[in-house]
Amino acid sequence: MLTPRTQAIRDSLFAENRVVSLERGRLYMESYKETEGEPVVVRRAKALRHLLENHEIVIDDYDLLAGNRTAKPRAGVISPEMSPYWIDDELDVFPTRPQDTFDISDEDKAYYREVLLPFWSGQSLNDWYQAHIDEEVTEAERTKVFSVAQTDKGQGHIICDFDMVLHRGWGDILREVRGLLEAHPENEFYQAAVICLEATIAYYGRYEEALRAKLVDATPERAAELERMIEIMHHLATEPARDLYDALQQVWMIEVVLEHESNASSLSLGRADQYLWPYYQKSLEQGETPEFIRELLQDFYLKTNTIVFIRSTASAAFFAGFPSGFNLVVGGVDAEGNDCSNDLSELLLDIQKDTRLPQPNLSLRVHEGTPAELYHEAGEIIRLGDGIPQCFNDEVNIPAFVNRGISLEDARDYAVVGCVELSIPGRMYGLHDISMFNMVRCLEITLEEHPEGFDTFEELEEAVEATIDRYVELMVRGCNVCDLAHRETSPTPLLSCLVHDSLEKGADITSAGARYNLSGVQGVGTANVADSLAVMKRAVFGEGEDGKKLEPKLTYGQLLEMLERDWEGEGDEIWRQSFINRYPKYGNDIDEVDLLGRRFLSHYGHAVEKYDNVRGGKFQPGSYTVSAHVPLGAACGATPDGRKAHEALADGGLSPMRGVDKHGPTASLRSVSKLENVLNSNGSLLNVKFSPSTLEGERGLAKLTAYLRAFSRLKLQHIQFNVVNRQTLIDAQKHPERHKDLVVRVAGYSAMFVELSKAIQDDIINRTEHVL
Amino acid sequence: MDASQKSLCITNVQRYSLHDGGGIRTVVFCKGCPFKCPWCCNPENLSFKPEVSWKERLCIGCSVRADGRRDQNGCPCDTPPDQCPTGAKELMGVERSVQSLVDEAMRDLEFYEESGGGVTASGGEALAGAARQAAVTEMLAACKQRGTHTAIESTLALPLDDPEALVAACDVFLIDFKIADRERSLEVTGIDPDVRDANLKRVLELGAKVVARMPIIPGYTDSPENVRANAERARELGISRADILPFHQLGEGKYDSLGMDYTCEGIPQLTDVDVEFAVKICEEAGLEVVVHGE
Repeated sequence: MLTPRTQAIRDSLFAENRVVSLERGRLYMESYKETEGEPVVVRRAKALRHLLENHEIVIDDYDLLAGNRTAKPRAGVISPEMSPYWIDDELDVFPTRPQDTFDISDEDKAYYREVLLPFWSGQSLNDWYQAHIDEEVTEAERTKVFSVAQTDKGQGHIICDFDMVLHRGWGDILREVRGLLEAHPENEFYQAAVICLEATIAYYGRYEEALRAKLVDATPERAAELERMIEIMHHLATEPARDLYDALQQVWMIEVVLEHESNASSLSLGRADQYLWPYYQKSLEQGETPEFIRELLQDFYLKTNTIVFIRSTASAAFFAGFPSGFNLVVGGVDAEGNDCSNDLSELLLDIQKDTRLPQPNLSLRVHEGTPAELYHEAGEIIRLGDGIPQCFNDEVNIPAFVNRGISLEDARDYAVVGCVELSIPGRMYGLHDISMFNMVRCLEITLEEHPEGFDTFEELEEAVEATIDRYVELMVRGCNVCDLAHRETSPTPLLSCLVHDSLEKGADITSAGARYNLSGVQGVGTANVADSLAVMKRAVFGEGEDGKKLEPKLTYGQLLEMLERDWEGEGDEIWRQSFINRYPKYGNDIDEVDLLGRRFLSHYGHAVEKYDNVRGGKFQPGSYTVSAHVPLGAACGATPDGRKAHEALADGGLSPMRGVDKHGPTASLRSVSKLENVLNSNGSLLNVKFSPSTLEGERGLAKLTAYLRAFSRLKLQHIQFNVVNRQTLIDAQKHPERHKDLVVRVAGYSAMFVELSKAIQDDIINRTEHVL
Repeated sequence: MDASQKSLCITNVQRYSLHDGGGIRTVVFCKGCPFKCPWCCNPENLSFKPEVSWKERLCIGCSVRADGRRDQNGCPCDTPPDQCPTGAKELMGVERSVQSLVDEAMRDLEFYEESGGGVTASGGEALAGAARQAAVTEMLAACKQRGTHTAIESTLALPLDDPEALVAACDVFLIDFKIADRERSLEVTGIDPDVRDANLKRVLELGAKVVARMPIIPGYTDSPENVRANAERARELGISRADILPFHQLGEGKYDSLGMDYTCEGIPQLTDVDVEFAVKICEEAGLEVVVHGE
């Protein structure tokens, strides 16, 4: 249960409409006007300093933790230095657009159009990207096979070394970097890093002052709390954390300053049960009560819901409902491969019972040795229906990273960024969300380019693969330009200090400072491609299971004509129904079609991993859609699996198409297990929806945890659950006012149901629910 | 008979079943039952012969007969079930080899092992006739040999051909205790509790584990006297566990799609609270009780 204090904090999050905040845009501009001609990494450092020195700090009357991104919680902080253009396009529709609305005053709109837009036009990250991208890639993006992400916002998708700050303190890190700068005075990254670190330490002083100001009319009780907060702020400015209170305050302050630097989604929290563990033990030893510890953790969790991201309408369709990516991982193995879960792992899951909000996005790592108690705790939380925690499987994710040349020890320390992307905390800059690749469009383009048809099914398969290869090369080129754009315009020197081996190398992470430098691109459409090709194989090419000859049902040309007219011709609906119902579908444990899914997702993966990025690392495949199966489907015409034009693709990434997985949730896990999951080192996503009644009681819970253990044995990478009655969702769509608190799983993250657009709501309602 | 030649007429192999013998299970539904419980929720498994079901809500009327004639189940066309584009029309009852059923059931081995689940033969009457008993025994024995827990759902109220082999193949028997009064039972369901009890004695002697399954059906089995008689009978036989199964209406639509009359229309579904009295009676008799089954 929340305490009166944390309940008040929770209420304050949703008390007012979200607003657009121009504060960052203004302060960044002020600083950039002063630093013309200086190296970009230094300009960025000075802009951060200006922000930390001047943004409005807010201390309320009840909070135990300080650190705010914006004066009002959940404000949309715009970053015109990344791209001023989409903001200009959407200024008037922020309050009314279908997804992620924000209020904005006329005065702010005018300020934006008259001051910020002209200033940033021509010198944003997006300008650099547009100036350097070649026409072929732009043309390819127009086909909607892929689109390069992070061309108008911060990169994010990274986990810094929290333990470094907790353990050493900012003061010690500053000493080290000053030493490095002394040895290499010409190194611009070190110059920038010192500016950032000094500014960060000074920033704590501003909080100290603001807290002190609150003392004046505080009750004696509140004054005692404020005194403690002041002492902690003063201490943490330079010194290591001493106990859990220190550690939570410190982690939150790290998040706040890094958000001020990057304004990016998914500066994720990593393995909190590991790095917080010594401080938790210390607090218990000091006699801190479990109740107080729980309240602190609640407070910390609520803090992660104060920051949301304002995205363009297009981006918000792909990432609906504020997946801010405060992903927090518990469980898993240690460097030697032994289970390293602890009491805090369970407690960190348990706090979700109190807060019931989408952030932090809790993730559980499971492996052969995961203790029964931890499964039990996770099962109880999953059963609440918030879609939290999602589960990740060490049994495949660690080999997947080793396969990418990451040391076994580092691979065992993996955590999760953003939604489901796998990353190595404090050692990897992985551009994990740099692009999504639409394999269904590749199938469609292949069919369009071959009106004459193919002699055999194998020829069709090879032609689809050739299309995939062609577009992968173009996607890679686009991603590499985006990678360079971040290097040239938007380095992140403070973040780089906390990512090894930037300090050793003397290079920002955008300039290959990190130990591991990957680029992650997601292959989407496995289910629809497999289902479509399974229909074509039998119905057009007369090839049955195990090479059996069948009578073709129709010609290639007839099928293409039906797709072209979106099944609107005379008798088409009969064909369509028969394609949906009479042909094998991915997700039902039928090799004939599941192995088609495997073939194409593997082909995509092997195509991707051939390429290098501009930081000396490799491209790596993943497979998740977040909410992008809706817009990616909108980009596709009708498909042979019976899908109508512009309908959503299968959700998740690896999930079966909606409504076709009729053999239940064990069969769908089996289907997914046939994919080459070890290839998807960037992470993949599987949605499963259970009816709440199947999970009731200890017996229901036991079956859920057994299901999870089997998931681990089958070596699937990821699974997440929606446990909500269809009826509840339908009611929430009709009467949002009655369901303001309903949290649901979207994909790799949870969101408030009522904050989602109708299209995404419909999609969640229509995912197959397994009931018995 | 050669092992590979045995077969069963089945209507469904249902994976991820949660209340049929413990853990996550696959249930093999055998078609055909010699009894006639009015509340049967699997009417597609009453007749021993394959039959065609037709679901109106799925039909798109793609090839209706010119004369407008409809089958008894309402189906308006002559399209063979395997060519019905929407699956509205479905053939109930397919002869499957024991081997193919074992192979399919074993696909969920990891789920059985992790949950303590396995394979359950059900119906219809899973033990109707010597040939079926032999096939079911062989199927369960093969599953058991491959490391899986096995169960049978049955009335056990018919002659057993080879009880030793059956007990050896089956880890738990889920046996119906419906109408306790013999005369009434014979009249309403055709089940002879005396035959069942004689068989129960035999399988219990052979070391079988048995759970008494008591559906609570308003007007048929829901009197406290009936529940008490069943509970006491189970205890006398040496059974220590009972599943209480509250009446539900989930089978209703199936009657419609098979063109069969449904006699339990309008009977209210029972909640867990409604069957608390039965739980109490069974517990008083010394039985360990699970509502809905494990």
